[in-house]
Amino acid sequence: MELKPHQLQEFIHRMNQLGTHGDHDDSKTSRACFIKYFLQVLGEIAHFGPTPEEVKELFMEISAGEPRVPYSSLYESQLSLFLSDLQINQMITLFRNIPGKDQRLSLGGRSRRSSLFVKSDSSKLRNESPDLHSMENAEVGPARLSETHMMEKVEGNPKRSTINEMKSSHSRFSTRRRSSILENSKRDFLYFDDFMEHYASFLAQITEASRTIENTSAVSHGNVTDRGVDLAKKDLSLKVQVRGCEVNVVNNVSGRLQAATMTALMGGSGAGKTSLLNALSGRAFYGTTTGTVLINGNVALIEEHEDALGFVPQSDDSIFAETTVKENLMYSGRFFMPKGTPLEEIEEHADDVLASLGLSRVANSIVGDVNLRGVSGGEEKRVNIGMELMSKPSILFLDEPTSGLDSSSALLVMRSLKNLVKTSRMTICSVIHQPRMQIFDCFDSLLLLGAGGNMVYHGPIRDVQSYFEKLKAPYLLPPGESVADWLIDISSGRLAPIDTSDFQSFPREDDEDIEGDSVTGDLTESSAAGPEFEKSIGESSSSNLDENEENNRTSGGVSIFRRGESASALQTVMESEEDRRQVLYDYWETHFKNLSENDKARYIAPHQYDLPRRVEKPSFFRQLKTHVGRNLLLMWRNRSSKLIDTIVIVGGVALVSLVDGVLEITVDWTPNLSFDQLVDGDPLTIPDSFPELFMHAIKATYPMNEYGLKVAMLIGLPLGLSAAKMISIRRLQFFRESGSGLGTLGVLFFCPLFTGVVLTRW
Amino acid sequence: MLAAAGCAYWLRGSLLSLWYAFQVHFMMFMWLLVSWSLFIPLVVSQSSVVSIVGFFIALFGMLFCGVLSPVQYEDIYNNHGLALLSGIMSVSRYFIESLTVQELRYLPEQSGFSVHPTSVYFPYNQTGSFAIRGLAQNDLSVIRRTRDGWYWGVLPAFMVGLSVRFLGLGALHAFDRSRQNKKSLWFELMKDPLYRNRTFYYMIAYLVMVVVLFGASGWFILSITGETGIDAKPEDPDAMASLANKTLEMISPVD
Repeated sequence: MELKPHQLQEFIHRMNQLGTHGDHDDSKTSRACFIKYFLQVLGEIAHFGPTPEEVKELFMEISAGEPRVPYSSLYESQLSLFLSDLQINQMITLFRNIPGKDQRLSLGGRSRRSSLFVKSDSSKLRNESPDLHSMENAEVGPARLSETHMMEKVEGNPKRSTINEMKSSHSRFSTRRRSSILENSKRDFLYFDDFMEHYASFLAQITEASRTIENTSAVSHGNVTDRGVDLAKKDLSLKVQVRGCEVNVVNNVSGRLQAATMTALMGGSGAGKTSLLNALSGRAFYGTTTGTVLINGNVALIEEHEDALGFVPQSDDSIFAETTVKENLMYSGRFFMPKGTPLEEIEEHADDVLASLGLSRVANSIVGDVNLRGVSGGEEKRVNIGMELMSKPSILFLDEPTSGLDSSSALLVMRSLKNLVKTSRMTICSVIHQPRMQIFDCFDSLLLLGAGGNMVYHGPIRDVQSYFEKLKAPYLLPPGESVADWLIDISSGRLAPIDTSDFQSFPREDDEDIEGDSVTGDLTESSAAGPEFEKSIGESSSSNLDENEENNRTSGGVSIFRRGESASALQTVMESEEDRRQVLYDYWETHFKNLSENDKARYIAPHQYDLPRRVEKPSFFRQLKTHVGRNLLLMWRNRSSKLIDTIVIVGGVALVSLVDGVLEITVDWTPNLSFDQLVDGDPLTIPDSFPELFMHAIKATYPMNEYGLKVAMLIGLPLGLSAAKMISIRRLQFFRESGSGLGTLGVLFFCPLFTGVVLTRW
Repeated sequence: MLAAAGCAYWLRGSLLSLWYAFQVHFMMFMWLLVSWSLFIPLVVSQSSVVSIVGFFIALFGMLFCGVLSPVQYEDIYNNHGLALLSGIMSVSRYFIESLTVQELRYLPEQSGFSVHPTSVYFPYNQTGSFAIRGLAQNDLSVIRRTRDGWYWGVLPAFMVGLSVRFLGLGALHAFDRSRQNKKSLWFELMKDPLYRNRTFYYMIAYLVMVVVLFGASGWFILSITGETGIDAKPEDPDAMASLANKTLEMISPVD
């Protein structure tokens, strides 16, 4: 077996992709990877460099004999066996942008104003025939396929056995086909001749692009500067009022989220992870934030650059369960993307985001909720992320994006994010709980917080274990323990440092780590380094202590880092969790101060460069139109329940009307008045007798009033309650959307006046 | 709601009913109802929305609509405070009264047919059963015993609905601001140098609008509309003489 050079490159690249989760060098691969993934990758590589016959065969398999195939079906085709969604999406983009295609395929070409309630352009539809005709020259021409298709249909229908009937059938079929094309004109189709001509070159192009990530841009940069966004913070603190007292929930956090990196924000319960995330993203309005934030080296307020940042909350309450995955993204795009962005561009971006997050297969599926079957929980999380990505953020904050997901779905989500970092130079900061090994390895750096929002560690993921192992009162990762769990235990103070005198007693982790590059695997080996480790502790401690000799630190009654003090002695005063945490905080502070200039550069803001550009949001009326459109769509999707509501209300009114019967205008009533009293009485006192005189008429008002009251209560209570409940639920969506920039509150308020409440009730 | 109104007209209405009056009154009822249903959830906690809205609709919709004691139409028209309270808070206040009036407004029985309206001492505002019952007393067209006047309750209801919705708009901005990633209004007003002035002017403008809208609503609730058709007042001898002449012409036998 012989692989061509480009196949070999792809072979190694894919093997490394499978074997590692972080960056890798495609000039070599490990033995372990080779052994484990050889057959799998070889099967994939076999699809590269296809011959024309293979291309033809592939198309026929994909299209099942049809002359064209919807682009959307490519995600579920044989292509998915060896291409990722992102690569398939790139290939689709390439096919769509074939020069001159618009002229040739004025109908079949992408009708970009598609999918979301936009009427197709009739002028394009009129050009249908030439398009179909032009395809007859294809090797597997549409005419022949249509004929075959027609014959199959004819054979299946005994009544159409004669030639005339066949012609008639052909005519009807053509009509049907025409109407079908009209109906489907909003879809995108890939045609046979395009596939034959370009597939091989496009395949090579996208695989090459995948290997050189800088050339690929699955999610176009938007307002991301070429260098990405770098966010540095200095002495960032957040104070909130708790029962009248001011409490620090984030305490002097300094560090940096480097451009195009993925940072994990971890810590025990109450460590202030979400608070720090809110403070970093300019959302901590519930407290007082102090400190300095530098964006791309410029002192700036993060909330003034909200166009550049995305925030994915833990809850998915802004997703509309009744709409499809793609519709959710499209609506986000309409709000987020700059004013005047054409719908075609929004849709293209939505396709890119879907592909980046591995959602292309479910693009047209209803999201669903507990009452409505829809996509899975992991996919819903990714939809939530995708909605934020529609704004093309330069920096993305995520609050526990994997909570509630199984480990497989969580990994998929995190790999999607990692992919965004690679392809879009996006900066990502995510709060994460108990990540599995592969997820933990996806991150580039870690910010570990202890109780009260104090820093315990901030730096590269690969250094975290050695950092804690090199403390004066060191910690050791027990065999089989997840690094993430171990770090949480340390930061919360629950885990006590080891007694170095017992260090040798720890069992050694001898199992070979096949994946080699895994942080977790490497660290278990280093943690069992025995004497070497002890030496490193000594070096580290002494180097730090030398510079701090003059400033013996005392905190919480615990004296640490004193020259000559032994680790064992230190441990004796670290009995409580609080003491242990305090030691960790102090050690980090000292460690940070004593970093070399080179190491410190990782934490210090870079030299100033351009700030993210501001985005002009769509106008009030455009937003209102989009909101109203969405609400109308939701109403249509909920039409059965609306119909039931209507039936109940109309039925109730009908019931009351029938029970009360037709209005009786008069009632039998004889006034208790004498004629003389009315005729000869004092004109000024005559009105006094009117109540008695008109009692029969007065009595007629009672049943009418009674009827009105019955109807008012019968329809008022259910409708009033349902409207209130709907508003109450939607209120959270209002707030989330408003906070995310999905329309101003005014729009969100006026919209239901037109649709959600008024139209449905009127 | 249009279907419900049509159904009510079809099953309940008489020959004298106007189908469009049914539609309009049902719609205005819903306008008021939804206004309050929109506002209340913005100011109360989500867990108690249903009970509070239900209680609100039932209490004010039943007890302050003017049909049941202790607050009846006579009381409402005799007490401006009560008129404002029921006009603003009761979602069914105008719906029920308007339905009744539009149905019965021009029947002879309602107008006191035994006393001619051009009588010198004609107490034009006391002669009909509507006057005695206390219905539509702010609409002179109804008192005049014409077919006009079915729409008299529409404008107050519309204005109240609009005012409550505007109040809701303010509530949406003012409450739960932390969920919207906004600083509290108090903080913005007192401590935030960036937004202090803007917030202050917005608040002033909003409060002015609230006052204007509710003032207009109150004015529409209390104001008297329509025409009596009788310009003369008993204390004006000339006018009364002219009226008497007209009366004589009217009652002259026709050849």
